[in-house]
Amino acid sequence: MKFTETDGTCFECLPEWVNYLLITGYDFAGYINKGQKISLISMPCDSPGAGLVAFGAMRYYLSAQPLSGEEIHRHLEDVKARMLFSGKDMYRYIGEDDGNAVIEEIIRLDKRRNPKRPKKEPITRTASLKGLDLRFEDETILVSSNKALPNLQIYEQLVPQGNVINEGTLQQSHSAVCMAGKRKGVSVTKALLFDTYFEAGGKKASLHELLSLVDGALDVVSRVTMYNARTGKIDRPGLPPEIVVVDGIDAFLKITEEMQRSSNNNFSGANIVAVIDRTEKREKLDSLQTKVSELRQWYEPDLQEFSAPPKGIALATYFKRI
Amino acid sequence: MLDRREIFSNLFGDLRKQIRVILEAMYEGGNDHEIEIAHELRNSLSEWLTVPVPFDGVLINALQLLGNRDIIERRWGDEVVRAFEAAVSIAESMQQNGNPMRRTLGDEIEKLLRENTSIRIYAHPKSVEYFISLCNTLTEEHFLYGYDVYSASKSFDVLLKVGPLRSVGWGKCPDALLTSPRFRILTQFVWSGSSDEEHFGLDPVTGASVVDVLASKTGMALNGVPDALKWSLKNTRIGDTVNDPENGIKDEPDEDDFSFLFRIKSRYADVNRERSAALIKFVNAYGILIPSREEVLVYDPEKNEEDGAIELVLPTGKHLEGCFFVLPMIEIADFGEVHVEKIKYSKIWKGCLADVIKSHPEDLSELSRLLRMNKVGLQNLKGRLPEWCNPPSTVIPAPRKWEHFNALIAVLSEHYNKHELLADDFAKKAWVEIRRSRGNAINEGREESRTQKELEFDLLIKLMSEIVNTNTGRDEFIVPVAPDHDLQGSYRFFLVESVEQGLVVPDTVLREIHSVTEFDIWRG
Repeated sequence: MKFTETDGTCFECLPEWVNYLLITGYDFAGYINKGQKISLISMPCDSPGAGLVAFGAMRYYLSAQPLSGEEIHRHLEDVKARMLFSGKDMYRYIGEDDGNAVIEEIIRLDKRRNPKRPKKEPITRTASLKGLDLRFEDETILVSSNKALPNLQIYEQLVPQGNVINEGTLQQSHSAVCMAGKRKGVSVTKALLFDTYFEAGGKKASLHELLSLVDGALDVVSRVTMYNARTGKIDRPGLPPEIVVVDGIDAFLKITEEMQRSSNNNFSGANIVAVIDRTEKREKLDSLQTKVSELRQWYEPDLQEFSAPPKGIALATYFKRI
Repeated sequence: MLDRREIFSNLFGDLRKQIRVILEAMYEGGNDHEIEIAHELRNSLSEWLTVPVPFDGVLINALQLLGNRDIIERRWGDEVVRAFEAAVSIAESMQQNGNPMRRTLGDEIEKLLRENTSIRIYAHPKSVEYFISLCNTLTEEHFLYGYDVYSASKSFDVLLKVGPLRSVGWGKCPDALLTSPRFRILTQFVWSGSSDEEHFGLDPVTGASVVDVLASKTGMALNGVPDALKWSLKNTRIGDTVNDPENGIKDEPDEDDFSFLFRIKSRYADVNRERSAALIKFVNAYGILIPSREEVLVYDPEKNEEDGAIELVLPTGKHLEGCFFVLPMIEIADFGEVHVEKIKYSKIWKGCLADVIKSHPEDLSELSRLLRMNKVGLQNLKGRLPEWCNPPSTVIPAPRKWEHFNALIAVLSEHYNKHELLADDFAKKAWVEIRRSRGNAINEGREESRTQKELEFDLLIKLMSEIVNTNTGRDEFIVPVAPDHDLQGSYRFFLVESVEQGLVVPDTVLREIHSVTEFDIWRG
């Protein structure tokens, strides 16, 4: 496995710090059932650190059991009223037929404006879920064999001691891992992800591609969502995240503010890992410290869970008192 | 490794002691003009402690801001006049002996360059000339300043820094010098008694600070200190470290001047009800001080109207980086816009001043003297005169105070026969123009008016499409209000770089746009 931060050239073996962040993300995802946790990682410079932790966490969920066809059908049945998209066409879900999905086209109003035009009969299609590439409005594809995530070799070599990848997960969108981009703008975080590359088995891909973040078109399978700390919105709706990996102090303050605002929002139950750049201005370092002091009313320091960080990186973890 | 060279100078130690006596008295009982002189003297002292200035006339000039011996005695009494006389006498001796900080630093730079060691110097751009005067092989590439420049710098061997490690005020530097070193050795040159700021070198994640860790270091390994913050410390004392009681030289520790200055400034602020303020710094190197509890208008270009692109927020309550600070230049009567291209009076007086400087280049001392006689008690007046000639940009460069500006116009018109400046109320009209450019004239008197703020907010929302169209990626822009609205004027937008909290300032300096460096005086 090779790595580079220089837009796909000059690859080197995984540096210790990269490996550490990937493993931390992976391990952190594995601890999700032990009560809410907040981890803070400080780095000596601006880096794609948050992306690497998110990548590790994403890799953990690639070993999970994907949703079965039955579960997906049951879900579609529950939300039958919602419009579905397959490519640019709109459909509604009718039901299941021998494992396949039956969907009926919804004729758009604008296509019937001309009264001389004969009324189109809605088309009904029956096909396997994986072949239909269905998605809800504003969401990514539920399951697809055509658009499954490539780069399996890279995912496999990422955490060699990790559990075996279940290839079915590469075909399904997922929202357990959320990245919160820098408060300055998601584009600043994304720029670092676009410049960071991994290479394995003759294949190379950017961290942005490997995280399968949505970048415009929704006709894709995506396994990591992106929260815009500036607008307060997640790039695509879905189930609340289980892990939020935060890039920078401002975004962390925004997430914790959201988390504390009510006990029933996207972040109230999520575990948080924030990756902080120590070259931030003093005002920001102070504001983070104040926030940590405030959180310590409800959270205990946890000194044991993760392995010691390599030189140059500091880690502090807190878990919620019950 | 932190290689700390502490420089002892009995003369300089004594001078600092005398200046502390003078400053204490001035901050205790000074009037507005005297407090301004005290601020200047305080700045000089801070500069000597953080910049390798030559001990030439600069020390005496700073002291002479106070006036002559008789005036000082009448105004301040025996103790202060004794301190003044002692300070002048010490300053004269120091002029002869030179600045030991410069010698030590110069030797070290020469040595490192001879050894082909890759060095950088962390120094404010305004102080670079003093370093270059020590060693002419230094170039701009050897200097670093600011968070972004440091963060982006490549690794090197040795970083040189003059003055204590502080996160605010004179000689300030990023905590990252200690928490994210890009070098092997930090060689720090400090005057004796100057302490590094407590909690400097903060890792916000662990709450540990390198300065605190080093202060408690006893040679034993410290448990619980993350590897990221482990430093070794080498302390060297240089200069007059010999105890010589016969000549009044005692080996006693010097007081930390920055703690002293902070203490007297805080006391003055309490007594004079100075206000807590936030400094909003713009990307274009200008800024504005806003009371911490006063709401400001901001525009976030990443949001649309429904998401709250325009908001009224406390400068302390929201992260403004990347947003635009909006300065309403609005009034109910027809006021007109403030555009630098519409400037009238400043062209005239700046032309006169430039003419005087050009035709009497050797005579700037005379102009400075005349201004000082008119109570323009500013340090480095000769340096400021050419700055005031600069053409308008974001603001009109000019003296900050009406008294100083009025004195400048009076001196130019009376002593240099610039009759065009004698026209009716010329100085007042030109002053209004300057204040408009700083954005404070229209807001004056109604800054607390919530209703006015809300009117301005409502109007701004209506201008959303104009704002979006006008914002074409520049750091600063103006959106005029169309004549069919009740309120008239325009809004100025400034892209915010950062917000600095915790300044304590008098009311008179609030809500004015100035170059960021002008606010240094309030940082302590």
